[in-house]
Amino acid sequence: MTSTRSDLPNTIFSIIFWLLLWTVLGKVVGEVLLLPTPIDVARAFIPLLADESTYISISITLFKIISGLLLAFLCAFLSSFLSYVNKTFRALSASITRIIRATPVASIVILLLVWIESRNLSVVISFLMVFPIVHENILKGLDETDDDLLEAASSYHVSAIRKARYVYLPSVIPYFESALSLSVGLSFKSGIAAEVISLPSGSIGERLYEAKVYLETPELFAWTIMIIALSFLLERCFLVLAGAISGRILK
Amino acid sequence: MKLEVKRKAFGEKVVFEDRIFWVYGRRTLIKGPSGSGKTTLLRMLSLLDDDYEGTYSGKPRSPLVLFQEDRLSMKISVLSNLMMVTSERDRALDVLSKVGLAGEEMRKCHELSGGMRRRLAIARILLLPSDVLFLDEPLRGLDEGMKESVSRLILDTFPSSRIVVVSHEEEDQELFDIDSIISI
Repeated sequence: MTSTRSDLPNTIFSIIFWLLLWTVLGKVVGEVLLLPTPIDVARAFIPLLADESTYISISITLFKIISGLLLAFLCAFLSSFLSYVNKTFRALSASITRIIRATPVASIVILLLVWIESRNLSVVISFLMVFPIVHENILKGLDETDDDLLEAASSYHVSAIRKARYVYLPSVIPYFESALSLSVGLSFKSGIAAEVISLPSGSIGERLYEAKVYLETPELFAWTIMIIALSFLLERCFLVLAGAISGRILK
Repeated sequence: MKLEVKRKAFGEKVVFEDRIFWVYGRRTLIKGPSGSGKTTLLRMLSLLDDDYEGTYSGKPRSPLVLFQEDRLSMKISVLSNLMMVTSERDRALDVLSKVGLAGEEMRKCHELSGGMRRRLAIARILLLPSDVLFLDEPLRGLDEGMKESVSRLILDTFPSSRIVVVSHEEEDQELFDIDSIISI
């Protein structure tokens, strides 16, 4: 808390500095189409916030990306558990997660457009961005479960459910939280990139694309700022939720 | 209980060769110098380790081990460490108060001192049934007064169970009413 407070003046200073530099550059360029100033972007923001369709776009995009995220968490929990108990499954899942992580997002997007409907692309992309990170982190947590404690639990005939609740989960939770902070923002931004390519009706990606096509650069900037804010908020929401759940489990 | 060990080794290091161990008393003490294999013998007797050549007759039906290390889950609370082995919250709280940890139930285990952790590990075994109790350095890290009350508590909780203690503390012989000794 103390360090956050002491950083505040520097943070405010850096924000003002970059806004001023942006304004100066905007004035020097002198063309809204190429580089709008912060004032131009603010002017574009106001009608955007007043427009009902903005919130519909945000809802559509958030619904799809959160669906992909939740599906990824579920599959990652399942696959990491299977990898923990079965060496063959571990080898199979390790290779597939490595391939997903190494493949460029653009290649995945284009391939997926061949296989699935474009309106579902952002769901699949956010899933693919999150799944390998969460899978690997949970597996690491399982691998690092205290062997001595596991032996004690077995010798005391602790049931599988209690072992999961009191032995495995406390070991896995810190790794899961770390995976969340790494992956949620990434999946949101990748999901929107996928929307820009697949253009599902009413999504943020489509609005971003339209702003580009109609050369509405201030609106493009306004949507970008909105995406950054939403990405930050989504990440915070997931971390707060995960913190509340882990607080209950680790009590 | 009779354990005949033809050979027990860890890699090249032979721990026991052609040894017979009898546990005939109700309260048995295993003693010997450091590194002589006391804990290894306790693990074999309590069925935790069956990786040896030999035979074991009169095996315990439900052995219960108090490990030398506390083996607690450090990230969860004192009470949760007990709830790991029982669903009876009131009984867990009762046992905590018996080992002098009343009021500490919601503290995280890593916040406890060494002596408190030892008492919590002891509280956990008090919640479990057993015909033979295996205690590895049970009173390690406890102060004198606590040693007496905790050893009495263990004896009172398991009045009809056989107890095997590994210790190099002379006073443990008296505290656990030892009636037979295995020297390694």
